[in-house]
Amino acid sequence: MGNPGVVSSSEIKNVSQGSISMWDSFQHILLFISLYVMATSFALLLHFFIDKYVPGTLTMSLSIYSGLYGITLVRTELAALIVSFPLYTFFFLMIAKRTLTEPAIKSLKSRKFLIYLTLIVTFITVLINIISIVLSLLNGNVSLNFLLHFIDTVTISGIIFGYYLYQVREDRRPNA
Amino acid sequence: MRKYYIFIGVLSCLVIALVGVTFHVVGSPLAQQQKAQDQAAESDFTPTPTPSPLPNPLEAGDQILNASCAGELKNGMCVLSGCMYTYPINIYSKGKAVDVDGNSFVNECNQTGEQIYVNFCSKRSEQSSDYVHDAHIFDCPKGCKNGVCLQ
Repeated sequence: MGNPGVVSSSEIKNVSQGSISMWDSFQHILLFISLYVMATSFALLLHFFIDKYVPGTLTMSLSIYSGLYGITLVRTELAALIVSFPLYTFFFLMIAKRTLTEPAIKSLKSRKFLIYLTLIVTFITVLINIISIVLSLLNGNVSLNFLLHFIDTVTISGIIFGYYLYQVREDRRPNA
Repeated sequence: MRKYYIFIGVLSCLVIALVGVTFHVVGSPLAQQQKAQDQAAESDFTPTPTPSPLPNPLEAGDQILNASCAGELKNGMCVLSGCMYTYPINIYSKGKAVDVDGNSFVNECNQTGEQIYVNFCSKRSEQSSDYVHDAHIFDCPKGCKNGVCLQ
């Protein structure tokens, strides 16, 4: 029997973890889905502008964005961005607030899984892009259009990778 | 919490700027719809005249059908400076021309379904090396449907 007036650290941990529910996992899943949709539509819209204003080596780029199909594609990307961005903002702020009051959320399994999944996906994206640009350099086929597409994809993937790598390091800090 | 608000603020500015620019470039759906209708109406009733008309329309048609690609062939398209079109020109298969602004002109039947408007590219002028969208009317012996002559 311990001292009734003193609460042990294990008890604090149990109380803290007890307030974490499936709802937190659900919010994290929605946050990451919103992130994937937002990042993809953002990147694709930038690709559209690159193809429009800096076309390929041909005078007319045989872009998928030409014609009626292209306009529909751009509108779809725009709609996806308009819808996913407020959702992402909402879940991001909600989770950030909750994490401040409930630090145990940082050890949530679904959160860890989603963060590591995102790190892997963004790492593979960056890796493939770097390989393709090195290959193009070796073949002597690097154009400004290609370079801008590379910068677009790598920047967005890199920001997401960097942010979640920082999150992982913060989570692993003993006093976090 | 402050750093999260700053992050969301910066992200909001980027997204709003991108959405605004995209709206400006792509235009509102209603404006685009009107433009598409205008283009369809124009291609239905007043196809762009051939800049260098030949005396005999049949001869001109044969020249167009038998003309070799003066540019680069890519994905079934003859890519020229400022314009590209489906190559080879065939009135019995789907074809189109795309101008420098990305406007696509798909081959279409006339209202009676006896002729076809074939879109291709021709030189802006005799001296110019630039090509522009052009169209020519061909008779379809067995009629025309969905932008192709019936065989």
